[in-house]
Amino acid sequence: MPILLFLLWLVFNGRFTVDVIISGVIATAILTWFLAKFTGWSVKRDGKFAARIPAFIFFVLRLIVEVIAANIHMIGLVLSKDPDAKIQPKIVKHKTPLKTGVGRVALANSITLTPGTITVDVGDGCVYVHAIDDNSREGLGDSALEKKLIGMEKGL
Amino acid sequence: MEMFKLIAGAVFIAIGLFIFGVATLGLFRFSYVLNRVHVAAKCDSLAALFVCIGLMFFSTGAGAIIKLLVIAAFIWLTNPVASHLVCKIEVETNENLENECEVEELP
Repeated sequence: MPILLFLLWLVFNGRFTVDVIISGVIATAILTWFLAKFTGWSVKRDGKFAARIPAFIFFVLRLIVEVIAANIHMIGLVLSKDPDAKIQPKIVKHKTPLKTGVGRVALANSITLTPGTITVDVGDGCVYVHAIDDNSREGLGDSALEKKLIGMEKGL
Repeated sequence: MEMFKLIAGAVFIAIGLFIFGVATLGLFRFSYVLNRVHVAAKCDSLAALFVCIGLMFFSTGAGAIIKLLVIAAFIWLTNPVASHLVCKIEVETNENLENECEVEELP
């Protein structure tokens, strides 16, 4: 995490001089201290997250593919003659085996990102989803994204 | 090479702007909040990604490209949260929700 913060500082500055590096190190140190004190950050936890970076990249790629496919569906809906007649909005309860908070938040965010479904609320062991039509609701049942998240969550 | 960069960038930005246009159109074509949020929020995230990719072809240097990637990442993180909050408030405050959509189970 400190390395990531420092890289972000360098990118935002755009220059590579001594004073930028010194102030960056000071800012990174203060932020790391803050994270360790208030969010329970530790090197061990960083290692756990770092081990999941490859899986996370595959997850993001899959997410982008899914978002593009669903967006095409959505554009078709909008450009059709009478959009209000073609949709069957419904709020459904979707059970999820994800246990950690991070996993559930990631699932909720990816559900919201895929057009056609929005997470209304996250409960204990389930998410409440507003689906715009039957097509997007069926896609919710066996999502590959959720399986990837379950795989990533193991041992966290 | 310059020509290729120009064409690729222009194509990506054009796709992004088209999706933005469709999203704005959809905002007016649907009639209810929960249906409107679908198009308004989601198509925007994909369109912003496409515009960022298109701008990457025009930018010079690795710094600008990484900055654009960071912008796209933050949009993809914050956009779902914002639309989720709009939906949550609507579901919690609307007493006649059943008139607008089928409800299987409420939070």
